[in-house]
Amino acid sequence: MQLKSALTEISGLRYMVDKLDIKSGLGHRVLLASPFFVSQKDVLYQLQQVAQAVDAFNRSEHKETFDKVAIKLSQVRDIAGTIKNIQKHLTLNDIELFEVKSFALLANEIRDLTSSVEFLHSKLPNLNKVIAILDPENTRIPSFYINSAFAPELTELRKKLASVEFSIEDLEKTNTDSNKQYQQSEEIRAKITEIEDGVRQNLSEQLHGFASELNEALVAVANIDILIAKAKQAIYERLIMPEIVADTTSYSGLFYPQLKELLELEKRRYQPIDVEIHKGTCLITGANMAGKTVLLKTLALSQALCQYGFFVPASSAKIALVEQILFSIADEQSELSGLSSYAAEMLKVNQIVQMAKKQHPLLVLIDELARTTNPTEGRAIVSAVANYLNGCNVKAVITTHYSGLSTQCRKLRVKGFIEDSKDATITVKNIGDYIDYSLIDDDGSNVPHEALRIAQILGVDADVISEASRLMETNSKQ
Amino acid sequence: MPFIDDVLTYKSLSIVGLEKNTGKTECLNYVLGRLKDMDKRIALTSIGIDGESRDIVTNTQKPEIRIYKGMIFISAEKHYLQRQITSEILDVSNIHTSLGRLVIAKAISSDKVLLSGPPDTHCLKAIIAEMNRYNVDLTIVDGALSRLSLASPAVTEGMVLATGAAYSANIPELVRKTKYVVDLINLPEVEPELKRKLDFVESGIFAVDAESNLHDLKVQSVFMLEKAKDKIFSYGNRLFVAGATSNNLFEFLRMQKNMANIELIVKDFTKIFATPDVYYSFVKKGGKVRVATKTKLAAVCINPTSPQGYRLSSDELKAAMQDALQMPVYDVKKLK
Repeated sequence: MQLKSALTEISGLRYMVDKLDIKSGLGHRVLLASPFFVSQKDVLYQLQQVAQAVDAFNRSEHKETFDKVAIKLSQVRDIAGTIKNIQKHLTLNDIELFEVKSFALLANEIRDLTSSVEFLHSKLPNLNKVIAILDPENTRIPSFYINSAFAPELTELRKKLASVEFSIEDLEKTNTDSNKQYQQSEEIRAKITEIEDGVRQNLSEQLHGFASELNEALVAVANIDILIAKAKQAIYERLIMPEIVADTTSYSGLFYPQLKELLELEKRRYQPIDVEIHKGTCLITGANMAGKTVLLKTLALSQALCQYGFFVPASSAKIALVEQILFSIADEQSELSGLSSYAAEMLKVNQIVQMAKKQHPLLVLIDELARTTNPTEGRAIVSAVANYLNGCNVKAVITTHYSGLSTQCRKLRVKGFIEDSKDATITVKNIGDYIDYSLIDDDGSNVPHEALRIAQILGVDADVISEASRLMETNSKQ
Repeated sequence: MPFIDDVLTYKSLSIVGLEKNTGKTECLNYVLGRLKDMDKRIALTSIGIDGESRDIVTNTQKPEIRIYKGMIFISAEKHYLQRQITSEILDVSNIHTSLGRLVIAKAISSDKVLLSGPPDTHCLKAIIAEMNRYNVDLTIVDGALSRLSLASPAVTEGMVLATGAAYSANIPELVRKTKYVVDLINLPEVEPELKRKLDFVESGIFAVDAESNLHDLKVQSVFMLEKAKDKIFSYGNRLFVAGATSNNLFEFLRMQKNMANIELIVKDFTKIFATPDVYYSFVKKGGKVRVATKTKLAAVCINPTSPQGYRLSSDELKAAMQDALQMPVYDVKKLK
């Protein structure tokens, strides 16, 4: 899946891409077409490139270089269409010839500017020969027209045309017949056009030999733009290079950048998470508002960033590559498809199970499985899906509120309310400050019962809360 | 040389015709012909398509725009590639039009060209600003006063208005109709502080309070104003309409009790589409109108010939026009 399509699927990914400071439309196009890398070799190559860019960017001696390169990058135009025309042996028009000339000049300028940053410099082929074709007088100015340096006979013809045109004007002023001169001017124009067309054909033919260099340079310029932007983002957002491993994915200090920034703006605490995801199923329980959904979204985001060649939001990370990220997250809209939320969820889960059956390595994230049906059957569904996925080649994380599940898979719990917060005045606004979002191993026999307390904090009517509490007590007595 | 010295005091100038065939192109050719011998760098663009050798609507001969060696011109890709002139591409801009991107080029020879230009006011401003890069002294915009054009020529510092028999074949009526447009062009500009705020607003209707703050009335169009009656004057008597204003609006405002204190603010004079009778009855009752962007009228040119064959007396028209407008008026055909 190209990054472009993943943007709408993986929440938080668009935020990261939008925040990239990419200078050229070309860079944007190439970035959005990035594939989801699945081989260790490809992912490592991508990440090492970013690491090199971060390293170079952090060195003060390169600061001026990067500033200058940024200006040049912002002037770059995407000439992919023109290069295609060159490859197809088409004759380029003046605008296309101008584009090739100005691109070649810019690419070479970027090449010269990056001479001290070897890994960027070496990406760019030298386009001197292309420039020589389009700039025979060696002016190094990007403007273009078919001047006499391409065809010396043009000088004489253009002079002649100007003088004929001049005499036509004179004759018209005195209402004298100018037909002869008019004809003459048409003839000269035709001759000039013929010569100009010849020059365009000739130039296009010569450029054909450099189509692959031009393409290489175009991709290189785009990648330089992307790499610098990724490096800047990694430094600014404190992202790190993950280690690529074969089996267990593990993070320490994992965070969701968009939420972290939001909380920091409000001067509130953001708690990063440590988590390990083994092969098989992992069930996560925890009170409402304990950050389970955000955890799933963060896992999806981090995996996606890594496999699209970005650094990841954590203080350290070991990531096992997967072929696909599949998820079923509660806030998906199903009304429009005419399905109930339960039906939509079941179809989605079935899709996941079918994929898992093929034994492809997957990252599966399911938020509150079977939450919209009765608890008896819901429990059975959660257990069944968890048990099934546990035997597949997938890493599945399923959040649930159900207790007493019949499954042997791994279970984690969000710690939830900090014990000594019992007496504090908790409100909807500050509730986050009284929750410990860290994950602990749990046997899953007893899920947190804090729904009523949270409802109370949210300001739900006291009559309802007290009635609910009374019912809970009667239940437990029975 | 009539009005050329005046023209040179501006950084940007638009030349607009009140109607097709009112002599705008001849006027433009006159200005360009005069400027070519001066030591000034001139750039030329257009809003909407222009420079066709025949007028498609009335099938009359239309003078082409003649560009002189060294001048900069801006045209869309499609038109650029059809040109006869020898010219050097300086840049291809990121501004897209239905005819392709805009090409900025320098004339190497002198010849006739087909001009096309920025699709909206924002791009027009950007292109005029861009001309600084090429040390241009004066950017001339071949303009149109039309609902069809999204780009307003009023963003240029100065304006030359072309009017003539094609607009009306009756001298008193032609003078009256032209006087109306001139009155609109001469509407006063708002204070600089408010202008800065209004320049960023592209749509909507706002109440403006005494401290020049804008309050969005959340009204979709002037047709819905009736519904917001209670809110309109809750911040004072000033109303800013970013889009087009029609007879409805002027009539609605005229009928309000506080009529004499009402001040209507529009983006620029081209946004007023009220008919002269409705506009003047608003003004006569004490209503005030101001603009966020004002252009200065540099000259009025007349073309006494209409495409249908009417031929008014040049001298008579000129005298009547001068008398009504209290400014010099020129017959383009006689400007040589």
